[in-house]
Amino acid sequence: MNRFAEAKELFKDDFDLSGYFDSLTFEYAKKQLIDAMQSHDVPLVFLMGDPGTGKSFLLNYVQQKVSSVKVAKYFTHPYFDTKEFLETLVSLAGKNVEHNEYRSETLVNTLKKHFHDLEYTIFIDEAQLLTEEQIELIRILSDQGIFQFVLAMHKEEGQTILKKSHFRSRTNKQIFIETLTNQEVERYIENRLLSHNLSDVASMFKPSHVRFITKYSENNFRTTKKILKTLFEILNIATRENYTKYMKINETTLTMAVIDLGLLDVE
Amino acid sequence: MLNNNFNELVHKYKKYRNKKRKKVALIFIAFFAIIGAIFYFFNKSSLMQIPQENIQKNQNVTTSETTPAKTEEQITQNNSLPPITKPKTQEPKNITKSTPTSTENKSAISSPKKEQEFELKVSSSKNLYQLLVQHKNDKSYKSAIEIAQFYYNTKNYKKAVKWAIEASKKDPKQAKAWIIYAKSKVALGKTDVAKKALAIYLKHNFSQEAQDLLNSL
Repeated sequence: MNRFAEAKELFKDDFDLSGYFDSLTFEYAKKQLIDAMQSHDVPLVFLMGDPGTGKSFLLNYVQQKVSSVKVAKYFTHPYFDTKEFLETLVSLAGKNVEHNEYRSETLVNTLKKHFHDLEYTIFIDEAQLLTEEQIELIRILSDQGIFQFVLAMHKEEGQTILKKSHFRSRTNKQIFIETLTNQEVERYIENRLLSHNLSDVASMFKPSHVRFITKYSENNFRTTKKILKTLFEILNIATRENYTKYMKINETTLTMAVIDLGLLDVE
Repeated sequence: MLNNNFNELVHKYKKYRNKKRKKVALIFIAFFAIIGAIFYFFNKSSLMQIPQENIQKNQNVTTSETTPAKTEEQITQNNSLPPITKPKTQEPKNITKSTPTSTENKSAISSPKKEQEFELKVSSSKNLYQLLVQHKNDKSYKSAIEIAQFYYNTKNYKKAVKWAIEASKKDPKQAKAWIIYAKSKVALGKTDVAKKALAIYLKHNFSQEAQDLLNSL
């Protein structure tokens, strides 16, 4: 496997926690989230940011790595009905609920016995897709101090949801994750490659290349990773097939990467 | 895995690159076209101003350079172009004008002769200074008429008049001096003076060009 194939693997779009990057916005959001979870007095936390800024990564990180907080459940998507949702939560207490005994009031009372004072937190990702019924249920559970909820959602839709009557009058915390700065993009590329002994690849990047990447990624973390992954895939193929013209990091190969991703319209 | 086949991606890249180059080339062409247009119109407007301004003053202009030809008899007596008062010149100081001798001034009234066709060829490589130096050295009709032609071509009509007179003093029979004189006078708004001068010349000499010019005025 050539160097470019190795480098390509470092920029996959997944939640590999070894890819943790301490950007300023991420560190600040992480601190605010942990503080809110540890305080036990904020029933609702809204984690907002544009797609690809690292909201899901942060939730994963906190759930797996931060031992000082208690995450009862992480819903990666809100595609559940009320019954399913409550059954899942009740199962956290260890009690087996029979289907034909389901009554929401009973289930809520059961949850009250086992969970209180906002000791445990429920993460819900893509919360902008929650239905009215689901939102109402979340309100009831948080109002009664059963669970603290952290709702991760897109910034734009999040602002709309916050204006709903369910949340407007209630105590909540809003945490924003923004895009990276140009310097952070450059640092991220360098650190990621150097930490995996790919210093020769890291040294191929010039400031103009980083500027090119930030221009087309608009400093979005996910898009930056996609561009880098595609770039290294192009270089990997060129090296393998001996296309010497495309074996270097330059404007040509970078442009090919953004064309492949559809970030640049050729027509 | 790429979304496109590698060769396909290369093809798309080349297509994008060619499109970008065409755009840059078009911008350059447009830029230079605008500069060229501005330069052209600027030059045109500045050159048009000199004769137009003078023509507008044609009604009541009194000459400081030349004394107007009052009567035909006065002009006939001398048989030369109307005398001029000494004008201000912009020539280099080391060049002095020669005063024509009397013999040179007089020209016998003889039967009309066909003018010697004199092909003026003011070389484009000769600049004004060279012409003036040449005249200083040879004081000939040829150099004087070249200077007159130079000034006429560069629309310096007052100087063209002056040097046409100088040339005619050297050789009054040559039509070219009178023609340049007449054309310059027209450009300065003095068509009547031009007509009179041509008429006087044609009384004693023959020149189809001069005749055509007089007919056109």
